[in-house]
Amino acid sequence: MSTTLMGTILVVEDTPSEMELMSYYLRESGYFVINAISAREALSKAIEQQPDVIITDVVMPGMSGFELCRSLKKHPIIKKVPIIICTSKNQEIDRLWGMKQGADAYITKPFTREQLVRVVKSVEG
Amino acid sequence: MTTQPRPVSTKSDRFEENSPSESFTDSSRRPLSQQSMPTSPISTVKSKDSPLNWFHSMPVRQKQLLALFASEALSAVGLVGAGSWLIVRGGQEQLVNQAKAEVAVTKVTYDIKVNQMGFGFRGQSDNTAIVQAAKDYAAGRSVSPDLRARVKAILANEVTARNIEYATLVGPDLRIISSANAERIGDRFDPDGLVGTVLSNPRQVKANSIVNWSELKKESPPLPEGFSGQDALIRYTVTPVKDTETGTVIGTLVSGDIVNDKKPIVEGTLEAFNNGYSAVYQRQPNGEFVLSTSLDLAEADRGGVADLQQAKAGVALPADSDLLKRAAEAKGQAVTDRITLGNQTYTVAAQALNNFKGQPVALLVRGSSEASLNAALQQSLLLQLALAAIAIAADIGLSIVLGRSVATPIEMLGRVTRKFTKGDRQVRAEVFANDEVGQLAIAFNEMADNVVTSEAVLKEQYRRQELLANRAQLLTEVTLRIRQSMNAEEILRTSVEGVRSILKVDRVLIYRFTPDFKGGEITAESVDEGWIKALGQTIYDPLVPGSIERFKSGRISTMENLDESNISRCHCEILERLEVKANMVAPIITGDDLVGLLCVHQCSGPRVWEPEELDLMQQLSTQVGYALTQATLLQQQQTIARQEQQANYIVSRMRQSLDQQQIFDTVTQDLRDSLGADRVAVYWFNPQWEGTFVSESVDRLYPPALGAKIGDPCFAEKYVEQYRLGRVKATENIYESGLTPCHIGQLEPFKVKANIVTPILVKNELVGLLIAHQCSAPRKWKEAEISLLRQVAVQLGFALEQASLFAQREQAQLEAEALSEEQRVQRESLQMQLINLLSDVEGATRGDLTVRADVTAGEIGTVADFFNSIVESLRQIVTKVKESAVKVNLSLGENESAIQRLTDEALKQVEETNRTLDSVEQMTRSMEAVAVSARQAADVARTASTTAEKGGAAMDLTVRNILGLRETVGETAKKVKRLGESSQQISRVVSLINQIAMQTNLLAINAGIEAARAGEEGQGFAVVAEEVGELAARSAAATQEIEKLVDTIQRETSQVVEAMEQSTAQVVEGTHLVEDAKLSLNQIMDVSRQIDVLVQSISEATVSQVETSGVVTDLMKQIAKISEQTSQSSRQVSIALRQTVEVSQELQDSVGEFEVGTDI
Repeated sequence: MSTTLMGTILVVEDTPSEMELMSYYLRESGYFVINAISAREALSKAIEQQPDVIITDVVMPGMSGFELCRSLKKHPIIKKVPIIICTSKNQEIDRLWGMKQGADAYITKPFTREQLVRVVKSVEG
Repeated sequence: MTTQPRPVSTKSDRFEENSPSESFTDSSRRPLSQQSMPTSPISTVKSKDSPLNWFHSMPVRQKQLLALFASEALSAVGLVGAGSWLIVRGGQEQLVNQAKAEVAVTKVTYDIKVNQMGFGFRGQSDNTAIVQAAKDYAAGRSVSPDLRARVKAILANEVTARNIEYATLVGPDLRIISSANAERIGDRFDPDGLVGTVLSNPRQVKANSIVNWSELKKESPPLPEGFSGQDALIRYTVTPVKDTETGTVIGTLVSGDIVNDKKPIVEGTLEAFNNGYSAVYQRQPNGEFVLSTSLDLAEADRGGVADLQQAKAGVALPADSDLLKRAAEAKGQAVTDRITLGNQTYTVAAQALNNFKGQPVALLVRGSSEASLNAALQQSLLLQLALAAIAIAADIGLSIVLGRSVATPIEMLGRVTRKFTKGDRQVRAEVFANDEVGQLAIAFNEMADNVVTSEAVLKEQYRRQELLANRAQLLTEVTLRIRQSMNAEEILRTSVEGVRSILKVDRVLIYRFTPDFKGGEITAESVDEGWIKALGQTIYDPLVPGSIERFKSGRISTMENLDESNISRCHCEILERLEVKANMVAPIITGDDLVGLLCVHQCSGPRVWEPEELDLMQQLSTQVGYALTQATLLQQQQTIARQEQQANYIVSRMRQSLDQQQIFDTVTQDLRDSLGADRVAVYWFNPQWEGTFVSESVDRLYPPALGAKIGDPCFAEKYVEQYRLGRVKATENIYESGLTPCHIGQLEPFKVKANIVTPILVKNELVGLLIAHQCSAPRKWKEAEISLLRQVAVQLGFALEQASLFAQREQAQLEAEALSEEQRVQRESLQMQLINLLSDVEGATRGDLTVRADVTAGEIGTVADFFNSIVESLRQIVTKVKESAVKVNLSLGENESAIQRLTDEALKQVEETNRTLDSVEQMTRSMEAVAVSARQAADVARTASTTAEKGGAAMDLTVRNILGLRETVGETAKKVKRLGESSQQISRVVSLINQIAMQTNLLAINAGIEAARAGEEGQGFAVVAEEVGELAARSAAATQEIEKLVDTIQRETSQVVEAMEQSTAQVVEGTHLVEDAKLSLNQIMDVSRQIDVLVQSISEATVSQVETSGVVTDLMKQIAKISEQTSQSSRQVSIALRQTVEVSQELQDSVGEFEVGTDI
């Protein structure tokens, strides 16, 4: 894969292993990955760096992924940035709620590399 | 069958019902009891539960007697009773009336003394002493002691003489003047207000009253013995004492007679009637009545006169009588009652006596004795009873006579009947007379004859019936016995025994055919002792088809004597061998098959078979056939049942387990036990149709096949489908059944000689085979065994299905349990999550919007976030509201002053508008003035124009005049010229005249010179010559003046002409000028017309301006109004703003309660 024209992805994940896995998959697929281990950090990084896609976990200490979604969507600069929720919460209600909070896609853990990349591709651009 | 004949109707009715068995027994039982009823009606009397039973069983004689006696007694008793009752009632009523009358008499006697007392005292009221005393007292004088003593003596005398208690003189002031007894002068005395009444209404008054003991004590009159300490019934008379002279009431005389314990009152009554009870009761303060005085005189014996001395005083009425009460309430009416006093019954009447106020104070009681009435009644009753007794005695005598004439013959007939009933059929009744009893006897005799005849017939019938019944009973018993058994052998044995016992023959046997009817076996026999036993013998005696058919039709063949019969030799031999002399043969048919014969042999000798015996035989053989059929069926059923049982047993054992291997093992073991086979095995297929022995039960003698795997290449093609369709293969001997060597080779290692193979199907799919092997020897498999194996195989399939289902279910259950456990854990975790969520967001209820629920991985996580989003929204809203409130407050502050300004300005605007309005109004007014002026100007202009027009016309006229003038001037000038010329002519004339005058003058001078010469005559001439010379001189002078005038005229004419010429020029010039003026006038007219138009338009404009300014005024007014409204609104807005400020403050305060934190 080409590594030149791929976008920047902000990955928000409080579990280091998951973060590592996701980052690995995405980097492998040629994306530039920014990490944030809390929603608050993600918010500031998103405003600073304006990534192309944001992938966020839901269950995090302090601000949750849902709240992050809401906050991002409220922000005028980054409200257009597509958000992917990637979580172990696999109920239909969770998905529904996540999408209502402004997420563009919702994938549940565990995921394969293909799934992740496909989702990212589906939302970017 | 010995059941009672049933009424057809009953039967048919019953058969319509649904339970024929029940109705059957009912219908058979009911007629039995009904029939038994008439068999013994004579011996027992119907024992109805009637109370008149004793009467029914009484002899006629006694009945008659009893009836007569009863009727007579009834009439006597009725007559006597009713009569007595009526008499007693009448007597009693009479007594009541009598008592009422007597009480009236009592009243009279009671009143006698009062009246006497009244008379007495009326007399005393006229007594002078009394009158004097009263007069003195009334007049206020003191009554002299002497007079007082006299009066007292009079009064005391009255008391003693009349046996009364009070005799008192009372003054008009109600004070005692004098009294008979104790000295009570000056005491107030007015019992019951009687004295006052009499004083106010002078007349004598009599009254009953109660005087109390204290009063009595004060008076202390002579009282009856033993009377003390109680109130007394008293009778007062009050008599007015009048002044003899004036007639005025000056006092009253009061007399008082106490009734208590005074006999005379009651004695009077008793004297009048000679007997009875008489009493007076007085009223107590508590309203009860107590006895004042009484006297009771029992009626003397019949004819005797009662002695008043024997009368008992002080007898009171019994306390339980309510007579007194009723009398007191009856208001003077007499009331009655029957009361017993001592040993006497009285009809008592009571009447109330009222005091002066109308209250009952005393009761008069009178009791009339019933003794005399009772005596009269007794007499009457005795008479009636005697009459009744006589009548009854007469009746009894009559009935005895009647009884003898009727009852004796009946009794005799009765005796005869009893004898007849007891069995003496010879006795007959004697006939005495031809009356009803005699006819009864004749009828009895006829009946007896009939009974004897009928009995004989009945006896014969009974004998036959008994025989038949016996047979029938035997038959029933035998049938029953036969039916009781279900074993064919036993049935046959029982049958032959039974038949022999019924028919009383020497031998009965059952001959059972071989299937081809060529021979048979004697399978049961009952034989009398001494005759050859044939049991177990096999006889070859082929039946001809004709006899088979005959037997099948159920016909019985008989032979009465062997020797005389024409049966076949061979058959005959057989019979002879059994020493048979006579026989009877009935077929035994089970179902439709002829199975044997029931043979009855008589060995002792020939025998004639009676039709009943044939019938019996027929029935018996039929019964045997039925029994055998049933037994066969039963046996079959038992076999089936046993088989079923085995199958069931195996199946149930199989079903005990749900483990496949265990099922197999159980089945193989049990099946081998049931079949007695050497090996039973389950052969299980794999998908390639290769089988393995998965379970086996095998005899120890033979090699085990368990675990052996056999792959039969041709099995799949050839047999799977067949087995799947349920093929069961039983092979008696595998070596003789055409099996392929290959197949045999497969079986050989297991030493198989015979086998049965059945498929095991699960859900219609072949899964294995259930196989039974016989290894010891070839075996002929019975159908039952094959069937058993098949059933077991089918059940095995079911069991396997069940087992697999169970396994599935178990699995499912385990899963379900796990699931439910999981659900429980889930629930708990949910609850924990919920609790956490609640504790997280609890603060929000207090207004803390900084709370945030943890979004966990669980289900509630999302819900928590839902809360979070709500709280966030709330937080935003609250923050915004807070800001807005602050802003609102600020801007409200600004707004307020702005509004104030606005208000002020609006007010100013109003003022200004008003001023403007004034100006506008002024302007309007000016405009109106302008309009008026313009209108005037227009008029002026119009006038000017008219004037100019007139001027124009005048000008034209002037021009015309001037032109005329010019012509006139021209002509004048001409005339003047001519005048000038004429004047020149004048001048020449004048000059001529002048020359003439000069010449005349010269001639007159000459004539005067001459006339002067002519002296005095010439003087007259010389004067004419002088006057001619003077005329000539004056002509010359006039001529000179004319000359001068003409000269002037000429000069002036020339001047006129000149002037004329000048004037003409001026006229021409004037014409020109006039024309100019006319032009100017025209111009003026135009201008003035224009002015008019202008002024008109000015006027119009002004009008419209006025209108416009009116509109402007209105507008201005509106503006002023609006401005005022604006001002008003501004004020309102200002107020509203102030309120808004308050509200906003409140809002700010409320919102302040929410905690929103700083980071949003």
